[in-house]
Amino acid sequence: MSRKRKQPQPESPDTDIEGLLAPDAPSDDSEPEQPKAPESAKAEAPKPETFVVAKGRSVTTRARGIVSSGQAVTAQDFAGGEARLQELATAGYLTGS
Amino acid sequence: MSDTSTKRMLNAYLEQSAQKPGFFTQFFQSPERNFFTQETVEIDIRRSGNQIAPVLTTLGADLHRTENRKFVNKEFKPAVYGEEFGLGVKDAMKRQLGQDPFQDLGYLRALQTAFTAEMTERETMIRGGIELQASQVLRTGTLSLPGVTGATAFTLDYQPKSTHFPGAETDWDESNVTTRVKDVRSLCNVIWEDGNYRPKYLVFGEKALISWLADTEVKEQIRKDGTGVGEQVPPQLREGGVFHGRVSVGQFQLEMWSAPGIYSAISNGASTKYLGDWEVMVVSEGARLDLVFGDIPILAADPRVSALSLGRVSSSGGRIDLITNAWVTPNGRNIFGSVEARPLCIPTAIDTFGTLNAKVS
Repeated sequence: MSRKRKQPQPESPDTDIEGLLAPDAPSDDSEPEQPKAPESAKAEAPKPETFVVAKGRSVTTRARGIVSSGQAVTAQDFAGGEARLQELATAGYLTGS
Repeated sequence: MSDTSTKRMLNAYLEQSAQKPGFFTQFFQSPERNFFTQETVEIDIRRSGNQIAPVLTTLGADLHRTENRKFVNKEFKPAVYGEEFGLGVKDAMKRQLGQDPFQDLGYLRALQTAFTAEMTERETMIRGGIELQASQVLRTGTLSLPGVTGATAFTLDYQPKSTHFPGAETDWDESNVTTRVKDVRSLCNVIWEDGNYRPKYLVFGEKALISWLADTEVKEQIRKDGTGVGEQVPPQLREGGVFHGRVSVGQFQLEMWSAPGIYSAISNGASTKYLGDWEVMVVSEGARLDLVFGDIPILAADPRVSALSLGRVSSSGGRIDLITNAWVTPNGRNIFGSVEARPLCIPTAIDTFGTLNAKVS
């Protein structure tokens, strides 16, 4: 009876259990981070300021009729656009949100 | 005897006075039940609704149960107005305004004439106070009344819906503004939806009226060839206001008015308009707005001048309720009179009117 000789298994690089359990280490071949937008670019495209109608006030709008207190309005609601928003805010009809 | 004298005096006063309520006051009613004998007044307010009854699926189905509409009973303490004046007895012997010098100048008659003239002036002032109340309620839904020094001495917030007092999308004095009719239509629609009464009166401040009549859309309606759906008439002085014609706004036919009334501000005497230049008021027809009067207790009149003291003078049609009194100084040389009132304009149907601010900035 011949005895079959067990062939030695080649060592696989991914069998290192210690390596698997270890926390991820920073690797050099990781994807490069997206470059952050420079601060100046942020200033060029600011998020539009949102306004809501002030308490106890209301305003007529281009397409939504009369908008009452607490409801949000945008420049699209006024023929005068952004400038009108600022005027209404100055007059106390709108507050920034 | 005093009754006879009082009646004669009352007639003389009412003849000479013949004052009419102010333009805004006339939107408020004063039936007899609005003349109270207490310090405070109570009004039941019932909101209207647009609900309709749903159909039931079968004859035997359960009936549709709904909550009773709530009466909101509100108690108000009316503002107090009180004007006092004095007359020298010797001055009363002089010829008075409108008095025929060739007639017998009876002592009492002369006094009555002078007294009536003074009372009339005080009534005018109190009527001005009532007109200011009425205009403030219709413009803002609140009251903020000046006291003797001009500082605010009486405030009351009826808590109207803010949508009834909007600012305009575009100021009406802009050269290219095209939103005037749309602004008014939006306000009319809100009043119609909330108040269930048809808007009828469109009352302009002076500059808002000029701007409105210059609007292309409005001009198209009131064109002179008679084919427009509206009409403009020469300004007609009516009931303290000025009538300008009619115009259609959306589904409503509105009467165009302006309100030229002016009063002197108590604080600095400056001429002040009851309706701001750029304000546009919309009021519904038949909406219930109440002018109520509380009582002012006064001890019995001085018997020496009982003929001069009318007591309480009330007039539903005249929308006035005055409590008058007269008394003589101990030395008998001077007579004092007073005219007091406790009126309060209450917007019982508060959702039936509104005012647009046509120039915000």
